[in-house]
Amino acid sequence: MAVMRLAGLLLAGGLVLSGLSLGVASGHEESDAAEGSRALSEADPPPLDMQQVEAGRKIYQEYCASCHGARGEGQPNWETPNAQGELPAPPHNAEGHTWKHSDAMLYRMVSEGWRDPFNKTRHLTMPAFQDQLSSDEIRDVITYLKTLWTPEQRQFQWEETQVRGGFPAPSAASTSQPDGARKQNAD
Amino acid sequence: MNEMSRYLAKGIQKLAFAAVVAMLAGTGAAEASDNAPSLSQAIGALVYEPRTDALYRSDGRALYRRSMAGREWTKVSLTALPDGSRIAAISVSAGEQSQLYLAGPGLGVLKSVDAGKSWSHIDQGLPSREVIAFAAHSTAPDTLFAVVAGEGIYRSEDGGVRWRMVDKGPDAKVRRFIHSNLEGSMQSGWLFAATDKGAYRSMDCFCGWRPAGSLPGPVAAVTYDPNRPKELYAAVGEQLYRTVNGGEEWEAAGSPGTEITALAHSRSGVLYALLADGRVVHRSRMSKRWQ
Repeated sequence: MAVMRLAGLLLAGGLVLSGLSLGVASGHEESDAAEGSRALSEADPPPLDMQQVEAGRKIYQEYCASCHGARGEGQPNWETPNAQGELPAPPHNAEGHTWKHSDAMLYRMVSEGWRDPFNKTRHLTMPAFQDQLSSDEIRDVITYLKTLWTPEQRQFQWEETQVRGGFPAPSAASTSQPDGARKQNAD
Repeated sequence: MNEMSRYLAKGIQKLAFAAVVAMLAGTGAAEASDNAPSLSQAIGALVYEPRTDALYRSDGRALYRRSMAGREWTKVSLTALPDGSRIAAISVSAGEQSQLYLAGPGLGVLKSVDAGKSWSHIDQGLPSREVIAFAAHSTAPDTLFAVVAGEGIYRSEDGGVRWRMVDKGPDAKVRRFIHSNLEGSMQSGWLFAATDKGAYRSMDCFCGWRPAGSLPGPVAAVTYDPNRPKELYAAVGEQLYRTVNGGEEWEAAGSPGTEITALAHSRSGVLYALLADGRVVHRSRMSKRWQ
């Protein structure tokens, strides 16, 4: 009985948290729609692989920290483009928006880079790392970034990933990505 | 066992409370919002519906339809709106079905799948019916965006069954917003907002709202040419402004002589404006002459 009460509390706590984070209805009638919103949150994100996290942390410090900050804090005034339309590097921690993107999009951003359409310079807004990092290393560094987010942000990002796609399959990624540092190490 | 359960239960309650507090602080949901309803927000609404080549307009309380062939406005029957509620936005979904949506403060979101013959609420997944702006996705038929006063922007990707808060919105009072298929987004398009501080834009992954150029006052309405997504129009008082580079620079583009409260653009290149006196005027893309 006590175990059942405990399970009930856990479930209720989970619903309260997920309801707030997902904007579930309150204040007017319950419906199938509201139930549907709750159902979205019941699949929790899987635990992070700590080996990947540690590998990703090292890669982050080597390749990413100089722009995005040692703790993922981003550059000052990162939301304001300069006169040429270049955006400063955004935070990767809970203050930024990295957690709003699926694994597939984050992988593509790191691998191929990205150019803001209002950037008037010749530079990419986010440089491409496909010539410097292997597909495994890109996965590792994204996995590390997930340690910088709140549980609610991790939940959101997990759901985005389920809807919009995860990391490319290792075989496909390894054939489409040039060799990176990990492969060099293996050699 | 009972002792252990109670201990664990108390711990969970404390953790849940702390998490809720942290989350509210993080999302800003507990903060006073810039998007609270006010008299300065959207007055009336206007939309072009391409499937039947018709215009819909609202004065806030009633809905009217005019086919391009007919030229006469006919009232669309609605169930009585709740006291104090008003229609602030009319939107049409992409795709063959072109579902019609009405939204507004106190009203929530209504959906019609039969060109306005019947309506149903699709706002049960929103935290309240204080919807101050609403937009349908320009290419994904089931994706909708709603700005809820005091909360932020909610997105549904299944036609309004489930809603999820995705962003706080720009640091300004949003009057209207639209979704555009302008290229260059990390996700699937861009949102442009008409606000009391000018026009703002954000990719629809919500990676940050940025001012879209400089306009000389509060923006009452914004719309875009679906055939030329870099070409947008904004209404500031009686003046229309036009940009051809996605909101980087704007130029004055004529005035109908009366305050513009809402804008709509057809795929055939006609721009429509709802005026403060209730008239709807139009002009072609290459003309500055209103009819």
